[in-house]
Amino acid sequence: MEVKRLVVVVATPILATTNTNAQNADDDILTELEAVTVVGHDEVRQMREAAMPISVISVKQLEGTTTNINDALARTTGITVRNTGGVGSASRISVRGLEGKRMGIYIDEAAIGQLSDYMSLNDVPTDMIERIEVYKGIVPYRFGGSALGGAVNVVTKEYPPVYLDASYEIASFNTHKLNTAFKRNNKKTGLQFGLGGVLTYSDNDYEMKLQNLDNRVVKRDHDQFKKAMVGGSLKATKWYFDEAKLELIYTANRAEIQGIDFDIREAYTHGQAAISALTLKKDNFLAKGLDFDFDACYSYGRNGLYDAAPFRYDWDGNRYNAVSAYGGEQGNYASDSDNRTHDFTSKLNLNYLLNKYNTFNLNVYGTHTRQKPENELMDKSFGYQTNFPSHMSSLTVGFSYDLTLLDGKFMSATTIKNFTYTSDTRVLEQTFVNNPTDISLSRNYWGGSESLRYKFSKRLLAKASFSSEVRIPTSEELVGNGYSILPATNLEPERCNGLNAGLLYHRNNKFGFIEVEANYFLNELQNMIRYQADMIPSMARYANFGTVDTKGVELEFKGDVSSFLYVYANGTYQDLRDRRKHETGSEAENPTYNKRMPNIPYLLANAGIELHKENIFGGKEQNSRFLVDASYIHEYFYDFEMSKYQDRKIPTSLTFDAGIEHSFKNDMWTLSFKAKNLTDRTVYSDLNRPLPGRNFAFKVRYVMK
Amino acid sequence: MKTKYLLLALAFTGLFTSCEDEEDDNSLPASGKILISTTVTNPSGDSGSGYLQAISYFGGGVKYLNKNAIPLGFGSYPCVCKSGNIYVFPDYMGGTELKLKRYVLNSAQQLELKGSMPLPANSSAAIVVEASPEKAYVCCQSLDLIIAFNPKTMKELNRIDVSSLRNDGVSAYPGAMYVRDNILYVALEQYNSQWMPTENAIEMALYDVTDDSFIKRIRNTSLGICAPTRPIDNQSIFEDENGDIYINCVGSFGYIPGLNAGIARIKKGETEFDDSYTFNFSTTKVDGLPCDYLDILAKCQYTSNGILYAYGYAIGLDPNNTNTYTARTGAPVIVDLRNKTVKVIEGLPRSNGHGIAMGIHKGKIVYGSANEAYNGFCTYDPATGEIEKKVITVEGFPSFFYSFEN
Repeated sequence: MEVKRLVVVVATPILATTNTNAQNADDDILTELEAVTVVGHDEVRQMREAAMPISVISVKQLEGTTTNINDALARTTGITVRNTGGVGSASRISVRGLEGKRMGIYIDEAAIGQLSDYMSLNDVPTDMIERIEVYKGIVPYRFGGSALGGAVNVVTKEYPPVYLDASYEIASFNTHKLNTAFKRNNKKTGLQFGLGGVLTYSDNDYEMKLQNLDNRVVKRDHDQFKKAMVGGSLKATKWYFDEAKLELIYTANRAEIQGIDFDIREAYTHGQAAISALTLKKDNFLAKGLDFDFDACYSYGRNGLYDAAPFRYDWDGNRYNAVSAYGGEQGNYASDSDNRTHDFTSKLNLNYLLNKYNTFNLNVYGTHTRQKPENELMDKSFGYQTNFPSHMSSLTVGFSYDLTLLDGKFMSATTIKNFTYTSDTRVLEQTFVNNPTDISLSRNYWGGSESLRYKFSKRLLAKASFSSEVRIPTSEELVGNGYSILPATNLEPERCNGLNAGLLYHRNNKFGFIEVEANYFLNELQNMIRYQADMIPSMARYANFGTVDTKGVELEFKGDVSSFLYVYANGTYQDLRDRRKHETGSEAENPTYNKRMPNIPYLLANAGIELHKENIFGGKEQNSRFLVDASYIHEYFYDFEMSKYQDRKIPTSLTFDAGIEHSFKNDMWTLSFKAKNLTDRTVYSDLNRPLPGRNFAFKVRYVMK
Repeated sequence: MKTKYLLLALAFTGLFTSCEDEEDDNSLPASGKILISTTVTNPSGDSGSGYLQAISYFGGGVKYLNKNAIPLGFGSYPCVCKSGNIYVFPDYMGGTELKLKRYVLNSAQQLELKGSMPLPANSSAAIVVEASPEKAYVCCQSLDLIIAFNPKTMKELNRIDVSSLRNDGVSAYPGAMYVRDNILYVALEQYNSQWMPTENAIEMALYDVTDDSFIKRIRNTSLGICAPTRPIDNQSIFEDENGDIYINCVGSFGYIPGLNAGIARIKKGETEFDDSYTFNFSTTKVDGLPCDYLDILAKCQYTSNGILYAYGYAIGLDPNNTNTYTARTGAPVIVDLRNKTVKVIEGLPRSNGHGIAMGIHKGKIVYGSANEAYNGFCTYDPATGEIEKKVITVEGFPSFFYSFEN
């Protein structure tokens, strides 16, 4: 649940919270986990062997050259992470080309989607993560909600009863990150207290090449990012429930807006949120074999955009009046918004294990969002009210049945879901006319999925899944955000019909393991919802695109090839095609029919090595690691590929990262140095957003346990 | 389909089959004395890309693909000047290479890039007018700026800041321009943040082409119309054979009652609006139009004798479609500037907001059409009144047409 995830972000270690596979948070298990600070291959493998296609990013990968979760995800088969700038910049995670809000993003199985304005996956320090599970094609039924296309679930570490973790990182572009977490566990009372905080600051003042301005190189000068989070938790393990937990979090951020074509000097966004979350878990609840899992989360947030500068500047220093008499550097209007949001999310999961062959699961997932936008300056610019209060509710009910046969060789998971949502708002159908219209929606859909797995031997298994599921539009997609995203109340939900099939070969060897995996996927996404720029400068809206087909393959190899060397390599080919045969409302041929969807990479590859050795410099209780990672993204088009003269491309990128890490006293102290984009390659994200060149980071971490 | 068109279509089948086979042959650029461009949009119609190409044959229902076309910015049309220079612009909303590019049709009748000039970001440049072989003006609408440049060298000569001509609470927003008697006429839209006028007034700024000095601002409130010129259409201000300048004023595009569209005039030898010439579309009933009144003329093409061919747009033609870009609200019309009448050309299909190319080819009026059946071009023969539909078809919405064989 969202909030919980938040708390996790701030105080994960403190909370020593709920892990998917460690539901009994009793002392014995904690003690056991204390001795095993990293998840073993077996557990990772167990995850991979689940019926649904899943990639697991283990601690080994997380603690490599990565500085955040997005880096780790970007090296996983089938995943692209599209950052738009430096620290704190917006980023979108895409699995097999399906991205954005259709992806479920979870921390310990709790969705953070509704809170994306206030926190992101990157807010979770990698030190505090046990593993990241990437589900492709189908979202596990126990997660609830209506995500489709895939999900990312960050599983946080269990920590010992008394624990302190503090780290400080200094990096290029005046970047500083401070993470602290403290946890105290009273075995006698069964109470656990946690407290933690995160501070992040960056100037993000890297040089960038401006493709639209004759490849001029300028230094970013208005991209400062500041963020603070603090949180605490109280968990009881002896209050009837196996776990009853209350978490509280406060977060605030301020991000300047960096101009690309224009030299923006004053505009910025800001946000604050207070979040509370309650978690209740109990096994054998009311009846033997019935496991109860309940989450509820409420958050109150304020966010906005300030953009009221009277002048605009180009990169030559020429000054221009703002379009609006009230100012504004980005577009036609001024903004000083103070939007209030109330989000409530709740999930109930009841899992009944009838016997070793049959399991039943009921999942009820509900959300309610209220938005109260306020932007007097924007209203003045337009001459009338432009944003209106709105509320939206959704309820997803899923019933699942798991069947296990042939001594566990065969597994099947069958799920049916019902999706309901309602929304009420008032919108301007045309933003240039003061003619607001009341819009009320109420929709209901059915969906379902089937996942299968068969183990041919201890080393080889096959898995397949089929699904026809619905994704309900988010409140942001339907009613906008009050300043940069316009309402799109006519949005239809997406439906994804998908097929996934894969083979996994896993063999333990004397150094660890070797693993090879191949997956094929085929999806038809109907009513694809796309984020697209609006004709009004700096404004965007979501719109239904139509039907898009996706097919592709993923290949991955990884393993320990010697006692000190771990290697991995993977590649993904994903082919997304426009399947609209005709223009909207016409029999005219659609000129982009069967053409590759623009702005989405289609050929990706990653590879890396890790050298590790204990006490390489003598002494004892020391460990050293050296890592190199390479990432390749083939060039892709900004627009549909129609003309041989088309030159708007996001160029091919081949980047190398390297890192060296040394720990003392059984990881009590860890020093790490990382270099990213070693060859200082000019790299662009989608829509040609310039990304940082070569940059460095040094980190010191202290762990008391 | 008539037999002759069928034969022509068959004759050209081979040609296009050949082109398909040579898809990878970059040595075969498009050629011809006809320029067409199309707009390929997202389903919502409010974003996309443009494609410009030269073609040699106009007829037979043949289909032209965009594979040989030059990509254009979205939201503006190429400008073709009497000199033969063809100017193309960056994306009107930004995000593409910020250059004004000058092409010509070379001796092989191929589009040849002759030079380019940097433009400021967020320019929303859409209009070029040439005053001489060595001097032209490009209008940077979102910046309240006009840049004078040398077309031969594509070097900037001077900048004219029109922001001082803003009215209260709006942007001056220079629109289409015209040069007559060594005077540069610049339409001032006086738009608010929504790209809408706020009063029923038309204004223009006059500059001396010799030194770009400001001459005066002219303003009229008696005609009952506003928003002079359609800012991205260089044909929305034109001169007739008498030397009179006509200005197609688009008002509030039909969205705000009382802020009306119509046509204004500046007579030969005058530098003020002609108060005696009133042509208000809100009071002009259109012959053959189901909803009686037009909201604007989205594109127009003057011929002679006071006859203006145009795409007349009326929200009432597709009232249930709130998507401005894809609603089929455009009807081909004939406007009589002297008698102040408008009538629909019967038989030609209605088009959406992107498929509004207009031009003249071999004496026929050419209409682009993005209709319910196809995307392509139609013609109307003023001499016989004969119409021809689906003369050629294209990929995307036909947004621009120019023939050097008019």
